[in-house]
Amino acid sequence: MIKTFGEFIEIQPKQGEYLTIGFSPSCRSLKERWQNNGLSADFIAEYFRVFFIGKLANIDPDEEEIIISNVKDSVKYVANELLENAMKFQNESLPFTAKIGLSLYDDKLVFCVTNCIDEQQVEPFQEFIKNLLNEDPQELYFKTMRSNALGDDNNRSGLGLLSMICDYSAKLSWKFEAIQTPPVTVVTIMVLLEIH
Amino acid sequence: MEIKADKYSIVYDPDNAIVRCSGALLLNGSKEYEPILQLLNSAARQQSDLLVDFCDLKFLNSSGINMMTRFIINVLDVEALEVNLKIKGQKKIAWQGKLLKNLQRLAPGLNTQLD
Repeated sequence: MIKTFGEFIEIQPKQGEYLTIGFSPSCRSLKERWQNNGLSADFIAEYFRVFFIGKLANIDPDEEEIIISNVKDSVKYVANELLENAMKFQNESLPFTAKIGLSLYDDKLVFCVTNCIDEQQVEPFQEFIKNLLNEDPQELYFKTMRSNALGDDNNRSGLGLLSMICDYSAKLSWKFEAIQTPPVTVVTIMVLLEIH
Repeated sequence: MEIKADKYSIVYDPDNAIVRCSGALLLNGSKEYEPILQLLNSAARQQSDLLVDFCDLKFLNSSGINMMTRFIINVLDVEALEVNLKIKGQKKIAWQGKLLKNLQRLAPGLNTQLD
């Protein structure tokens, strides 16, 4: 059974430029793998930077450097947050490879991250997404910051997703696919960043 | 007082009332950020003016944003310390501008400076 939230579109991976990195379950500690998130996010941002440079024309070199550096920071932030979430919520007892994919288009950049989660995580996650899509994201962002600061702090507050929407104008959508054997749900989050 | 690791450093200079943050902060959740939060809170309790300098900070993940909001709310609301707190960043680094704007919206009493 498939359920989508937001404007989820199936990406045809063979179109245009794309990059996919896979993370197999392993016996390495989360701490070790966590450090790889930054490296992978750097790699993705650098990969994108090379394509982005070609798009800039007739811009002052100093200004160009600032624009490129800021776009690279945005790509790194989004990639890193998505990887951190995939690591946090991935069900590691299953032989399922979590993946992050980046597709490049003329006017946009699309990230797709797939991982599998435990059945008991599905409903709370879907409730959080519904809330995110129905409420004013800015209000929810500040409400979450404040409630985290005043003691409801947890690693599942969704602050990273809210910051992508509010600070980076990212468009988010999700696909949940229930698999029978083993009984697990595969979640794909799609994050679209428009390139100006 | 300082916290130094391979990829980042947080250095509190009590004589000049500055906490300088540099490198890339990608720690995992509030537990790993706790020592930095404690350093910041402790500096704010000791000073009448305190500058937190982000100019050399290259990257901050959402758990780091969370740590900063906890620090600001604690200083200005929870403990309501008698400190003139200022956060400084670089204008040309877009994420720093966004962060400072968000922190100020969260705590209007906070001073921010973009150089």
